[in-house]
Amino acid sequence: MTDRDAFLRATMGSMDLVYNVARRMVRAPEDVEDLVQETYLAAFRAWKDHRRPDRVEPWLVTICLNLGRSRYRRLSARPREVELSDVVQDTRAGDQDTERDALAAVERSELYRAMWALPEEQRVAITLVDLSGFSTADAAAEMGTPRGTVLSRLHRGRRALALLMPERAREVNDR
Amino acid sequence: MMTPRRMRTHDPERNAAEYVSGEMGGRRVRRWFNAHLLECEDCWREVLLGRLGRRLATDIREVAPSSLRDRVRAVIAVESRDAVERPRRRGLRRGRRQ
Ligand SMILES: [Zn+2]
Repeated sequence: MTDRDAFLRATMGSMDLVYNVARRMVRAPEDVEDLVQETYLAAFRAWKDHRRPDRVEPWLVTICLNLGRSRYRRLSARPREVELSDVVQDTRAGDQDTERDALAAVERSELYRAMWALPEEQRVAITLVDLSGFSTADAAAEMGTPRGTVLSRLHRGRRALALLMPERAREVNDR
Repeated sequence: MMTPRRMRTHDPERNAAEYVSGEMGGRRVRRWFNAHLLECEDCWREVLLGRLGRRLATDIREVAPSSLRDRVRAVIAVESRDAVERPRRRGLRRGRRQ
């Protein structure tokens, strides 16, 4: 098996996760795809150099996150025109139940908007722990902060997401 | 009820973050917190919000577009072709080590 085959076999199954991580690091759909591509390219270069991880998934997530962070800084310096593209991407989905899909798309784009309203470090904490399944200790190592800081970023981010979705947060407030 | 030492400081934010992440350590601590949740409005509210936030954060997972998969495969293919050509030039230096 060539390096390339081994690499693809080990990593392509994680593309959905990497894509979702990238979705949380940069906003415009074309930037998301660029970031995923850069992630795989950087990973493949490391792989060829025999820098191969024990666990592929957290490795890819980390690469994506680090590339995304520097990229995000560059991108956020330029004016944004994104609201629409969030929605455009979200309506792609449906085949069967279009009405339900449309509802889901609306809710999803609201969720993305809510997520983008979070400070970067809260969004990163949520991306690592809730999306990618990192322990808070691993997330702390990744973010270079004490675990207590991660816990607080994580919780504040979760709470903000919940409160930014008023329909859903009502379930909590009504209790 | 005995309060485990590390839980004596009441910190709804940290407690809720650990609880919702399934990382509240030790059976005694978990038992204490479960009981505490019944009587502490603050912690209960934070746990509910934390749970909802975590659910929302994972609800919007998407499938990567198949065009992106093709694009990544193509880029890796190009990169591995480059790699075949480049080391050949470096081959002499490398050969010694191998
Ligand atoms: Zn409490």
